[in-house]
Amino acid sequence: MHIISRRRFLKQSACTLLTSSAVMNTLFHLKGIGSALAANCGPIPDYKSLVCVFMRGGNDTHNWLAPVSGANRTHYDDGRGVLALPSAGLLSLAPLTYSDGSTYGLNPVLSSLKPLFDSGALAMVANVGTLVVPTTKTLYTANGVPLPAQLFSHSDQQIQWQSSLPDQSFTTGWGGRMADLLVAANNDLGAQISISMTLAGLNNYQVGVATAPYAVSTAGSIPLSGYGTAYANALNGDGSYKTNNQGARLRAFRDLMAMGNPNLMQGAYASVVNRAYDADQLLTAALTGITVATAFPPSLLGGQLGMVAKLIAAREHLCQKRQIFFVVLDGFDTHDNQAATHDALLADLNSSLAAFYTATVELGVQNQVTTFGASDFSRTLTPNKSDPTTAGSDHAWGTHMFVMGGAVKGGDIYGQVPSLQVNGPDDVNTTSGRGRYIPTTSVDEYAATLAKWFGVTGPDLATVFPNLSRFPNPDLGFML
Amino acid sequence: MFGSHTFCFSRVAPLLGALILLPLSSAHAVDLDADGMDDVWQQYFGAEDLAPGVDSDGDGADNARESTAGTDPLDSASCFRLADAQPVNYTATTLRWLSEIGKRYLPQISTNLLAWLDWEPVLDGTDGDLEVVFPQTNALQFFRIQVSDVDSDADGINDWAELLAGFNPNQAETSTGTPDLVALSAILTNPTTLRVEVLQGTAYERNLTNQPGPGLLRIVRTGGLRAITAPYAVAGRPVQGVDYVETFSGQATLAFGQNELDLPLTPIADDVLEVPEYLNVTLQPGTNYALASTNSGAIRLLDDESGEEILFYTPLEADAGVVSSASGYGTLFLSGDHASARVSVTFSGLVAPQTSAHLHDHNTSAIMESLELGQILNHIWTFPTNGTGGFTSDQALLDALVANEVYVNIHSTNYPSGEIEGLFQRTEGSINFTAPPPATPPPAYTNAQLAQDVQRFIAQASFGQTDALFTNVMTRGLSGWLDDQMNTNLTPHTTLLPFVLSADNWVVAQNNAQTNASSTFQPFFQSLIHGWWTMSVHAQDQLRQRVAFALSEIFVVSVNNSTVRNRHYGTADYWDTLARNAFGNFRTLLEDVTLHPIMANYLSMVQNEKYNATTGVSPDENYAREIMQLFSIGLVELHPDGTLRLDATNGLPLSTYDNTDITELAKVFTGWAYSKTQTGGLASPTNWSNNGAITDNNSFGYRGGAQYAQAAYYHPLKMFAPQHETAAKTIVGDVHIPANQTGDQDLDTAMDALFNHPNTPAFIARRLIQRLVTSNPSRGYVYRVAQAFVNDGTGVRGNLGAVVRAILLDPEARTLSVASQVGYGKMREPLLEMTHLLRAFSATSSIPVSVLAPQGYTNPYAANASQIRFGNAVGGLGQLPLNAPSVFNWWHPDYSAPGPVSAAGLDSPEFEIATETQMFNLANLFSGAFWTGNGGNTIGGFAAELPPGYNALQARVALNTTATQSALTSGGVSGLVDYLNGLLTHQSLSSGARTIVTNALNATIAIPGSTQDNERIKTAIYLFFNSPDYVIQR
Repeated sequence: MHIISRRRFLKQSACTLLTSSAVMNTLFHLKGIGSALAANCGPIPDYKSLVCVFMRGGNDTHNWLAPVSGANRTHYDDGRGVLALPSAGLLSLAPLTYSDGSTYGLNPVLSSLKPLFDSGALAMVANVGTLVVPTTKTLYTANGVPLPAQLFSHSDQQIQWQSSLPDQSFTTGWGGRMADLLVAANNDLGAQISISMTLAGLNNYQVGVATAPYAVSTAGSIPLSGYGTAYANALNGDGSYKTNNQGARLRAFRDLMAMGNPNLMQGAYASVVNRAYDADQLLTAALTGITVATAFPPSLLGGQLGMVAKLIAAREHLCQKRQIFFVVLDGFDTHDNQAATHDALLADLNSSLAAFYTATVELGVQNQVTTFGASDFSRTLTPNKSDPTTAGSDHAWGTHMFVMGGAVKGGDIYGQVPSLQVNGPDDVNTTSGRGRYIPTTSVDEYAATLAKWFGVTGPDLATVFPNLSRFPNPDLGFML
Repeated sequence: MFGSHTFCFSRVAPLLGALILLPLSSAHAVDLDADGMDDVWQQYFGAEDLAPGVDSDGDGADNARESTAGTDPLDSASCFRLADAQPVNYTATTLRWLSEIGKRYLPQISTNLLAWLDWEPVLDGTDGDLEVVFPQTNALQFFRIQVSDVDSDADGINDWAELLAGFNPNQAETSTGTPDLVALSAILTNPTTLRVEVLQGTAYERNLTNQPGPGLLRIVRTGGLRAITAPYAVAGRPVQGVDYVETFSGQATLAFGQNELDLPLTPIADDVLEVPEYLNVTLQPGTNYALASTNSGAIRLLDDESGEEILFYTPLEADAGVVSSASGYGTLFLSGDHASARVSVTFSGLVAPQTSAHLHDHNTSAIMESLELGQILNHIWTFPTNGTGGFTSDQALLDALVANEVYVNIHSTNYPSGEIEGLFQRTEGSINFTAPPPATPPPAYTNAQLAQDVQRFIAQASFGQTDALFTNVMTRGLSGWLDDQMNTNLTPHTTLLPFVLSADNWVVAQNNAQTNASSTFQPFFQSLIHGWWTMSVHAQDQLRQRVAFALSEIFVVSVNNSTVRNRHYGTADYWDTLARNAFGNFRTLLEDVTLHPIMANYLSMVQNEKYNATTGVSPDENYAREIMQLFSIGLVELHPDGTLRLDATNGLPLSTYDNTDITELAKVFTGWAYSKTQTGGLASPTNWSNNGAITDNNSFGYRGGAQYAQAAYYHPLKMFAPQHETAAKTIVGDVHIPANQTGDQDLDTAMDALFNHPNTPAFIARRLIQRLVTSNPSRGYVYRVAQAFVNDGTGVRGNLGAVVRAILLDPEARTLSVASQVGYGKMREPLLEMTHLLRAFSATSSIPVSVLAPQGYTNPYAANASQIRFGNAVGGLGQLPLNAPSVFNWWHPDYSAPGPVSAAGLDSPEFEIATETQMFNLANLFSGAFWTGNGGNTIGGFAAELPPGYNALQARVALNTTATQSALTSGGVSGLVDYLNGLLTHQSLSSGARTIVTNALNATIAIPGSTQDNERIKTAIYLFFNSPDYVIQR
């Protein structure tokens, strides 16, 4: 593939630093506005897309990947209490290589993901979490190593999962840093819309130095209303304003956004509106005629992944060799009523992810699209209420994540499932513990494995993941 | 090869005949130049150029014989000879001679000098005297000692030479794999070359055990054996005897066969911070050797092996003579080797765009280092060897830094010579707080500026300007109006709960009155949302409700939670609780929020139980965490002005609490459950009831009545002692809660701890300022408001009325010129844009509030006030009342839009929802109201939810532009723009925007179904609401 040199990235960054007021203008390499004709770059060799499914609130993955038998099943039964899933109902997994003496199964709600695991299109990565350096219980207990700031706090852990820099204040996300490096490949093709697109609003993951996400809705983008279809009531064919009320109004609207504003927030607002105007026309044109036959569930996640599938299908019109997507399923902060809430969320994940994989097969890009999970943290093994209906769990740390796609070496569990013994060797506490497990795999290792597949290699990996060298496994091996 | 026999007569025994010492021929000498002399011997004695048959020192032994004997051919005192020969009582004779190690000595005896008898034993040389005693067996006897070489390992080199040359005489391959003869031949053949090796390239004044940590150079010889003296030059900054122990003589002396000479550098510790200093040793040319290319080596002399960074810190303040409330701080970490520093600078609030940033010298103002624009994270400042900015060396730069002479200066277009600056000081273990300077009071405004000030104030203190409110505040003055608003006699608190209860009853009654009444009709929670819109548009207690709105974005609950949604009377009461406390005491507010059933459901505190070892159930930690993180003290320690307290050793923020503090506080929040039960609440419209009998609840597990019997949700929780954890607890701030207190006592202690925590005043102050006035208050602004929290002037802490007053009357809120600063202001929330629109244009529906009177509702609004029945149908707002996505609200208070806003260090919370799609949704909400859905010639309006028995047109919320029309009629387009500029943008529309809007209005004409005036009014409102001057409230 086209290797983007580090030098180029640095040059790009330097320019950005010198002209910070122009940062946002570099997000879209607009060659002209008003063009309603879709570009078509034709087949794009070495196309790849990376889809982040952020499970906001802290997914209780003890009930995603639960022990079926063995020592961890005993620990699970001892600790999980009213939240325990019966072993009989779990969808038992037969990992290709993973073995720790216990066996594991998926939550029965994940019935459509089980076949993907079995067929090798889905892998689990066990006990991933934010780490500053490799951390053992001994080191944790002795305050022997720096720890991520504000462990167990939603807002901070979300940011750290998305920045992969738990020992720094936030500046950029790892998706954004990848985008900074890889955007040149899109620019070379003439792409005009950001390499990073979000179906879930603004986020930290996609913030780069020179790139930022373009936010679209599950319906794609929208135009300004009141000006007719494709602004036909306000614009002439050549893009000039019509001499009528709508033409005057649209001209004024656009001029207000173009007049330049000394106030920085005014400028930022105008930038968003200008992007909305320009990118909508490009996106609308690119999506025209694009259909994806696969049916997506009419759910929170299904709608987002359905539009992601369309944006992937439109890649040749968007001229994008790389696409970085961000979708969110919210509601995982199950301090109470976990049983029903969590099952409903997992049901959405189950059906939406399976549909998305099917859609990538339909589009013939299943080997070029990788979907991965991320979340604030997992939750305490022990429950916080005795009533099985109202019981929930609290914030914890290491969490099990899924990776899905044809390029995934699926059918296996990577990393190390911790001992689920409360107050045991992996619990942060020795007494009065809740089953908060110290991650055995860092977000850096997990993310770098994905980034490497995505085309970030060599010294660029250290640019995207400055802390990676602190950890033993820069490539966890779950990607082909 | 053998040396010839030569006698060295030094002594003749007088009594017993000749005593002869006879060097025997030499064996196994290496003689590569075939001159008959041992090459090792030749190099050892510097005898390379001597001829074998010559007795160079005239001692009687020629050079070849001296070679055999291992003696010095150039020293007449050195030859193979007797040290002593003594007769022993004439029965024996003792001979003693100086031996050479590696040589072998054979004593012989003769009576005739012809026949010699070997005398046992043969003796090996020792480098000391050997002696042998010959018995007197004949009257005439001669004795002699033959010296010979020996080659013990038969490698072709005699032992004497091997020992001198550094080989093992008992091993043919001293270095396995290379025969000694080969090795020695190479040494003898190769030219002598000297090089310098660096074995320990770094020396420390203090190593890890606080001792000098030496560096080490080594001079290494290859080729040749002879002794060499080589001069070397010592250069570099370290001074011998000052920086390191005197060990460098300038001459390296390698003895014969010596191949290595160590030159250690032992530093002398001092208390001066020094840049890395290099000591360079360079061998000089000399005789008998050549120099390798590596003829020099360097040792880096450092202060401290621990390599710990040293922290310098500075707050940033306005430069002298600069009018700016910008602030920030810088950290500078001097690297462990003192060769560089990493500089981070965080700042915000510049009045004008930044132009540059530098490190300067305090004495000369010279630039020492240029920094990048924007926030600076870990800029590496490497001290140039030759200095910079008037400093001629790196050490001089370091000295200036250590002397606290380095300052960072942020330059802006308004202040090219610097807007804010700070002088880096070594922290020495503490960072002191200094209070910000007092603010300049705002000018006393008159006329147009007074009106503008009032209009700005109204934008900050209400749900939107109306002509009536403007007149009111102009009349009363800001302070007088605040007095009125905080006086419940003059301005009663408008409560939501009565409206919601009555409205539910009313819509059910309306349904039941219809001929086609639905048998499944339910009001759900819409009445709450209707009540909120109706209140925000009509309420007279605007300030109270506006502050309640601000509080609702701090103490967040959301109807996206099913309990909060379905128990909407409780949620109405929650709002009323916030409003009731809006000018009350924060301590009361905090406890009221904590014990409110809606919050207790939203953050799962209700019915929490103490730890149960049997079931493994632990107290829920949700509320314990969020009350600290979001409602009171925050994550990190703050100064009284809201700036971060930093650890004085690592420069990092200090956490206010850890997870143990959370699990401990969670124990406090156990045992709390509902205090009331209620009957009724049947969902069928024909069995409708939301006012069943309310009685005390005595069951911990009671989960509230049927859906509309919600008394449990609008009465504070109560304590159920059996479920409360009574063990002692230690919570944040090391506050100890003794064992066996009641649950109420525990709660009091915990609430007091959070209320009195040093973070709370600034934490709450900053959040409230962000909600009401500006996203980036200066530290001075935060400090002044926090001080009002600490003490309202009468010694009371936590008086929110005083806090609100301090926020709204602060110079930073009131001074008009402050609004022109590049970072000032806040993005208007979509909800507040909507309430503003509705209020500014007197929105009405055709469903009066008074229809609720039969349900017992006392209309608190104007008699003709109408219901604003927006439900979940205000598409495009992206924000609905009490509908934040999580307890973190719609945005984080420190969200910073990437790009210039972020680079300037500005927070822009509302931008977190300002996506491209959302911005167009909002714009389209207005165009939809005015054009695509306005129903013809009317100005515009919004669809709203119908109660049974009403039609869409009656429910529709229409705008009234009578006053706007008057402005247009009397003043033309210019008059229209003036009017809206006062009503909507407090006269802040820029001249450029004014031209753009005016041009559009001038080009606007009548269209079928709508007059020119209407089109102009709609276009004007549309453009105003979308203009950057409006969207960013300044």
